[in-house]
Formats: sequence, C-alpha cells, structure tokens
Amino acid sequence: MSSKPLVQKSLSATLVHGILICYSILALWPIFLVLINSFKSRKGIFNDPMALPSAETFSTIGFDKVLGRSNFDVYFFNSITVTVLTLGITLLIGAMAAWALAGYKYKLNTLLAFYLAIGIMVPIRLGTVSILKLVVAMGLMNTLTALVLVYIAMSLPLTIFILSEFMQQIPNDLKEAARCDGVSEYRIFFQIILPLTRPAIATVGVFTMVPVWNDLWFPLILTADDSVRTVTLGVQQFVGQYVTDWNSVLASLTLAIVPVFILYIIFSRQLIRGITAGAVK
Amino acid sequence: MADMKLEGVYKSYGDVEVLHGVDIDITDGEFVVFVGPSGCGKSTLLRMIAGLEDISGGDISISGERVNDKPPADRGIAMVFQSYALYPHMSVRKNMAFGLSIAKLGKAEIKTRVDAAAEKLQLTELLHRRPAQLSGGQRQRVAIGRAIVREPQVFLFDEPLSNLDAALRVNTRLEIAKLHQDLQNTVIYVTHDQVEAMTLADKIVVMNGGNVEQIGSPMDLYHRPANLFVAGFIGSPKMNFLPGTVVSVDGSSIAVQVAGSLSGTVTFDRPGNSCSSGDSITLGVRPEHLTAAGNELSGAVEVVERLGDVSYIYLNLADGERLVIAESGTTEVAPGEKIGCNLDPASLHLFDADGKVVN
Ligand SMILES: Nc1ncnc2c1ncn2[C@@H]1O[C@H](COP(=O)(O)OP(=O)(O)OP(=O)(O)O)[C@@H](O)[C@H]1O
Ligand SMILES: [Mg+2]
Repeated sequence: MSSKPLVQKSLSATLVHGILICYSILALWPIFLVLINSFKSRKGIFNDPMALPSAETFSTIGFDKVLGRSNFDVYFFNSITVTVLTLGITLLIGAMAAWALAGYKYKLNTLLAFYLAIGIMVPIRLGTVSILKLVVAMGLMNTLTALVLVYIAMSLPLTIFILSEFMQQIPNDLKEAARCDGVSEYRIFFQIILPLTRPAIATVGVFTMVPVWNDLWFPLILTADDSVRTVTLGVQQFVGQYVTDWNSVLASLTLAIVPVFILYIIFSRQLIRGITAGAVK
Repeated sequence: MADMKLEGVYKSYGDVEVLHGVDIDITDGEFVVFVGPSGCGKSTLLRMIAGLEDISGGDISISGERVNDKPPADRGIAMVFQSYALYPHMSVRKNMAFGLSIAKLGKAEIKTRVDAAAEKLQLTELLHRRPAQLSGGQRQRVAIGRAIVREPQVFLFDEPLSNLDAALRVNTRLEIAKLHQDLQNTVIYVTHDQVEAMTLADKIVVMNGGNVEQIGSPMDLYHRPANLFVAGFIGSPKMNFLPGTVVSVDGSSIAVQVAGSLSGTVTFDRPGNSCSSGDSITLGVRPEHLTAAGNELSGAVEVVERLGDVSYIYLNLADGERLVIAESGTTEVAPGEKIGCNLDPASLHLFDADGKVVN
C-alpha cells in the first residue's frame, strides 16, 4: 500500500485521466469532423465546418454519389481482400518464423534474426522502382496479388521481431512437456504457442492492418486500373486539382472507417480475452 | 519390464564436458534418486534419459532397447518438471488428457484414466479449472496426474518439490512415496535435498561435478560412504573430518595419530592395505556417534543448538579444528564450557589422501 494521502492520490489520478481525455479528444477530433460533415450539404460544410448537421444542412448527397455513381463497392471489396489476405498470411508466416527464431537453437539463428530485422530499418518505399520492375516482369501489374505480396513483405519484419520477443517469454519447459506428451512440433506451435501469444498476435494484427488499409502509394503505382483500385485510391477521383467534391470524399472516408473498425473490434476482443485468461504464469 | 541401463554416458556443450561417463543400472520398479550439489549435471542426465537432450556419447537403454535416437514420446517415460509446465490455456482435465488424445486413445478410455488419476490425487473438484486458478501444491499434483495418465514405464521427476513450502513438501513427499508403492513403476527422481533422497530412494546415485561418486541404498551410503565427498554430502549435520597421520600398519590393524588428540594413537582393526605409515589420512565421524564425555579430544563449546529431541554442540578443538556433537535430549552444556569426547574406532571412517575410503 502506498503511503500517499488519499487526496493526493485522487488528484494525480484526475491529472492522468485529464491528460488521457485531452489526448483522446485530439485524436478523435478529425474523425468526428469527417463523420459530421459527411452528413451535411456542400453549403453546410463550407458555412460552418464545426457545426453538427441540422435539419437545414443535413444531406446524404455524398453517400448517394459515392454508392451510386462510382465503383465504390468494387474498391471496397478490393481493399478488404487485400487487407484480410495480407493480415492472414503475414500473421501465419510471421508467427511461424518468430517461433523458429525463438523456440529452436541452431547455428544461423542470430544471423537470420538480424537479416529479418533489417527490413524494419529500411523503408520498403525506397525500393519502389525495383518493386515496380519486378511486378511488371512477373506480369502482376494491375492485380491485387501484387499489392498483397508487397504488403506482406512490408509487414513481415516487424511482425517477426515483435512476436519472437513474445515467444521467448514462453518457458522452455512447456515445449519439452509437450514433447514428452508426444505432441508434434507443428501441434506445439498451433495448439500451445499460438494460443499463448494471442494477445501479441492481436496487437501485431492491428499494427499491420492500419497501414495496409490506408496505403495510397502502392495502389497508385501498381493497381491504377479501375477494377483493382482500393478505397484510398478510389477516393482520389473526387479530389480534383481545381475542385474537390468534399461530400463524396467525406462520405467515402466515413465508409472506409467501417471495416477497419470491425476488424479492430475483433482483434481487441482477442487481446482482452488473452490477457484475462491469465495466460503464461 | 522397465529395466534401464546407462553405459558410459557423456555430455558436452560445445567444448565443455558436463558429464564424464556415467554408468547406472536400474531394475524394474526401483525408486532411484539422483542427488548432488547444484550444477553437478543431475538435470542434464535426467533430460538425456527423457530424450530432451542429445547424448554426446554412450548408450541409454530402456527394457533392453537402445533409446538414444528415440523421441521422448516413444521411450515410455513421463516427466514432471520443477516449474510444473502445465499448459496455461487448458483446463486441468485438458492438461491431463492432451497427451492421450495425441496418442489417439478413445474418448471413453481417456475419461476413465483422467478420472482415476484425479481421484487418486484429489483433483476431482478442480478438473474444470485453469492452472492459474490453482495453488502451487495443486499444480504439482496436476503435473503428476498428467504423468500418471500416460501409464509410463518410467517416471522422471526433476526437483518436483522445490517450489513448495516446507509443510507441503513433506506432504507431497509422502504422496509420491505412496504413489510409488501403488503403481510399482520405475522412478527416477532428481533432488539436491538429501532428506528427500534418504526417505524416498531404494537406490541413491550421488553425483558431483559430472561424475557418479557412489551408488547404493540410503543406509549403504550413510554407513559405508566410499569417499570423502559422499561422507560429507549424506547426513545432517555433516560428518566431522579430522586430519591425522598413519603411525603404523601391520596387515590387520592401523594406528593413527589424530591431530589435537591428547591420548596418542587410535587403533583400527582393519587391514588398511592401501596405506603405509607416514601417510596423512582423514578421520570421519558423524556427530551422532560422538558423546560429550571423555578426554581424547577436548575444546571449548562455541554454540549449543537445542531442538528438543536432540542438541548440537559446536566444539572448538585446541588446535583450531571444529567438531559437532549430537546429543539426544536436552544437553546441560553451556557455551564457553570446556568439554571433551572420545573417539570410538568402530564408528569412525578413514579416508586416504585421495579421499578414498580405507578399509
Ligand atoms: N545449455 C547449456 N549449455 C552449456 N552448459 C550447460 C547447459 N545446460 C547446463 N549446462 C551446464 O551443465 C552443468 C550441469 O547442469 P544441470 O542443470 O544438469 O545441473 P543440476 O545438477 O541439475 O543443478 P541444479 O541442482 O542447480 O538444478 C552445469 O555446470 C551447467 O552450467
Ligand atoms: Mg537441475
């Protein structure tokens, strides 16, 4: 028990909460603005961007345009496909590689870990030109496969790094007890190691998902065709050099939040469930 | 039959050799305890038997079959770890059943075995809980249960009690002894606690620095230690050691001059083939074989410990040697007092300069 007086304790608690609340408002403010303005008419947006939609300014014209007049459903589908595939493959391969590094001792262990970690330090965008050449050479231009491959390469290093840190915490005895039980190495990974690192995997999942979903760079270069555009690229058609269709931009951004939000909720559930299960003791 | 044979078993990590050729014979149903100071290689040897560690040299066979290259699951062993190593995300029932379901046993058979083991270990009420919701002693029992359900030929325990408190340790020790009487399996048990070793073992293997010092029954080791190390390691408080010199050897008896002794030489009725007069020699005597009466050795009492049933008197001898005397009951001796004691040749052990026993 701390000997601090109660008043002082509640004061510092208030302070901490105050700071956290301020930060949350700051972080959520732009999202809030996007949300309210997506439900306003163009006039409403420009007259008073901060105001909530009123009976006068309320309008769903942005959504109508986005859903009716563009291929937004296709973009949406593309984005989800790319994100989910990237996420799934990255987490599976990343977790396996992490376990290979953390759970087994062999000669090239350290060297391999170092090689994989280099990817964290070198931004993948530096290699854009070579990636473009490679994709063209493989005939993958304007395919989602190209995006998925690039994003997996982009996400793997950090995934492996973080997960192998976590997996090193798992006591050796657990693996050996399983071996005595006759559990195969694959089963040890899938039925013991994976469940125990679920919180870490959920965290890494969120970190992987957001940049992939938001990326504009690689779609712009690799998937310019209308049929393979992602949401972030699709939105750009409303942003003109001279006129920007703010209604549509804001509406599509609002729609784009939904899937990430759902994925985030799924992952954070996992995160909390993992922590409360009193996992590794 | 679960006989086990270890022949010239070596282990090195890189350039460092940690086991220097170990030979042990274990017969079916025997309770064998590996005991020795920390770092002497007990766990390493056990893990090699389990198949968790490569064997650098020599052979290990179970039931006459060489198992060097067999994976742990095919050796008919089950291991209980010091850290329990329960699967944290599985219930107690699942923990025990996991290995069986891997071995593709029928559901009904698994249930029967788990229920029987739970009954035996008083875990029936806890079967639905997770390991995190159990006390240390309960976790230990689950770990034992997980070993029992596999119905192994050989149980391996690595310091299973060292994470328990003193009272629980005594209880669990008794349970393990009972379990062994019930199941009649071969057990190999690693500990550095000599009380556990003495109470549980049919056969004790005393190890030191990667070598086996002596193998024998508890009473063998206590009464007939083969060398200084075993003599000092078995028994509590430790055996007293006094330096001495051989005065004469005549084929049937040895006369020894004990340093600090007032009454000249002590004569032993044993041939003492390996020594000649003038050799330096070490006398060993257990505290319980000394009484605070006589005058062969004398000194000042430093400390007295009274435990009720027994008292330990710590004596500073004239020439700086120290001696512990165990007196049954409560002694009247007080610190500072000058007392003496006699040496009884029948209960004395003699060790030559290399630490080997002299008979
Ligand atoms: N992986 C390893 N690499 C190098 N040396 C090791 C390794 N594992 C153990 N050793 C060494 O082997 C020796 C024996 O270790 P071991 O764990 O068998 O000791 P122990 O008798 O079980 O001790 P304790 O009673 O402390 O558990 C020690 O000197 C240790 O430093
Ligand atoms: Mg050990």
